[in-house]
Amino acid sequence: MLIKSLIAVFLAAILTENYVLCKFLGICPFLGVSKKLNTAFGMSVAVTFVMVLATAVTFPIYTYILVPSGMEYLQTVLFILIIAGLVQLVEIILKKYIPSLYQSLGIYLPLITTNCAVLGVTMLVLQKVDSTTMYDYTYIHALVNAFGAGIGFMVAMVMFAGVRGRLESADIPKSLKGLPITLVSAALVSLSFLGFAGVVDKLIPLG
Amino acid sequence: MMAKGYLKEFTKGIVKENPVLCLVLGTCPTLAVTTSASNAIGMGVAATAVLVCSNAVISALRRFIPDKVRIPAYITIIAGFVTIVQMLVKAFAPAINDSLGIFLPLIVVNCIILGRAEMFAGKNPVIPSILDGLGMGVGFTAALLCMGIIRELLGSGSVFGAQILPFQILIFILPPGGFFVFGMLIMLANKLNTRAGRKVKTTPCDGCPMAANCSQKAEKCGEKEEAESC
Amino acid sequence: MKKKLSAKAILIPTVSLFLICLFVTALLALTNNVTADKITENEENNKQASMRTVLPDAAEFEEIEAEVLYLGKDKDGNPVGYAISTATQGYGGQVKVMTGIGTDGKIVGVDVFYNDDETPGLGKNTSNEAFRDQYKGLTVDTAIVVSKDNTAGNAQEVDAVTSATISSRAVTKAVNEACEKYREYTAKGAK
Repeated sequence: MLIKSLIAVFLAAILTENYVLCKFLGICPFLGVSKKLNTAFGMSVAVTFVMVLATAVTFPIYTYILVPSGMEYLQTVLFILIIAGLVQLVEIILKKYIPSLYQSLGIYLPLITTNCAVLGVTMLVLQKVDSTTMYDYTYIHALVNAFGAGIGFMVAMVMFAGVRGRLESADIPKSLKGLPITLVSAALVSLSFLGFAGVVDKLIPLG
Repeated sequence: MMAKGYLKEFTKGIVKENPVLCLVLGTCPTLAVTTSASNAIGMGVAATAVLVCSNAVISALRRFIPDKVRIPAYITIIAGFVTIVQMLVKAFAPAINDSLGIFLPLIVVNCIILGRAEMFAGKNPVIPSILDGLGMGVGFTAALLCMGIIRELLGSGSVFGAQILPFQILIFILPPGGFFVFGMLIMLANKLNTRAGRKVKTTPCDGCPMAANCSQKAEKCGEKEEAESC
Repeated sequence: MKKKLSAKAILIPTVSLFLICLFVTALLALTNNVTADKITENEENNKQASMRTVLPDAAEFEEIEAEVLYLGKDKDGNPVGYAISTATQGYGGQVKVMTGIGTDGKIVGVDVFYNDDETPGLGKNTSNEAFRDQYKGLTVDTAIVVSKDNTAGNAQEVDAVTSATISSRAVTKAVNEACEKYREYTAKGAK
């Protein structure tokens, strides 16, 4: 049951609850850094990493410190500071101990602090604790959800980078060039994700 | 003379430097909450309130905040105001809180607010900063309202809940419709800008939402990337 | 680059950042004090209104299981049924449903009191009366299904809102959970 629900959470985070294409979180990097495949990939790896790390820290802090002391209202302030701190920490550690990884991911890290998908994940997994009734939504579920959200971000970014590669050589009306055509193609990509609605419930029926 | 200068700080955000349509900032809420005109107004007003307050406080404290911890200090102040606005909305307009959902606390990472703190409030006196915040906020609200009206009219056949069209094209209130309408609006804004003889961005990072900020302070771009992502 | 940091260079930013955090926290605590009561009151009012919708005959409600199960009583204090609050996952997020069940084990009314994460014009239509009223009169004994899932002439069946099967299923699931809660509670000996 646990494994089954974890798989369901993971798949849902990628397909039906895709943060970029279904929930409109993290649109800026999605439009800004998706021009080349390798930058899109690098950015998503960094985002996934920070998402999991941030959730790993914020989830227990919220559940075991903020809720018992009745200070839920500090959630936003605390979470954004934790994310900013974590990003700095990761940057310093990578720089010092794994310089090769820092070279490839380092430039994306500062961009992540204000990526709303990261803050969004840490807050949305907490809402799921209350709203999931078929099984207990535990710490592990939250982590898997965060990881799935990162992978979902990656899927969207990489797919979109491919679409944009095609656009380069297309004959586009002058007034649509640049951002407008990018948004129109984003509309088509997100349209394709609408098709996933309900697929996870069908594949992995729970309860 | 003085008054004219102030007026300029206010109006630039509404048309010439509209944060959404010209600078392409704050795209997430622009796409997410514009499924109806009333949602768009709720979001716009909430963000404007945060923007004006944070601009005022940051500008008042600009000599006090050490440069090194500038960004964390700004983020803390902004997050504080966002939470205050969230609590007020919850208490006095619960319906708006329900319909904006997660996007209310996410005003924190709306790049318009951090961007204005970094680019304007951190360097200018209090009154122009407040006017700048107000102008940008009104511009943001106007753009959201534009999106909201178009999407609600086509998607649900109504405006502010009043039924107008006899048909509905549902796709417009679904995520793809958001992207599409936003693309069309930006195309229109580009066209109008070109006609008025204003420069349309064709920087190397064309189509990048961070381009607007980058080109204005290209020399510091690397160091201040934080302020530019959403 | 490798310049040694003086104590002052570390202290000043740290202290000022700390002061800002402290100030912001104090301000938030203050606002929270002012608004907390009002927010709880709003939520309480919402819940009361919702319970009244699903059990129109009840004059007052007695809390049996906090936030979940309420016993509705008429003016003379006779029990008329139960209002049960359940939540499930819909298309966009949480869906909260209040189900009113009469003492005879029949559903009296259903109210979808939170579905704001669902798509407007689609999933949000689950809070329309036309959809909700389908649950009226169904019994708690067997699970209710959405017509799309099982069309074999099941009496315990509701028609899904057009193009919003997932939201309709979420509501149905919440109602089924409420029925289960009711069965559990009545079986425990609340005769």
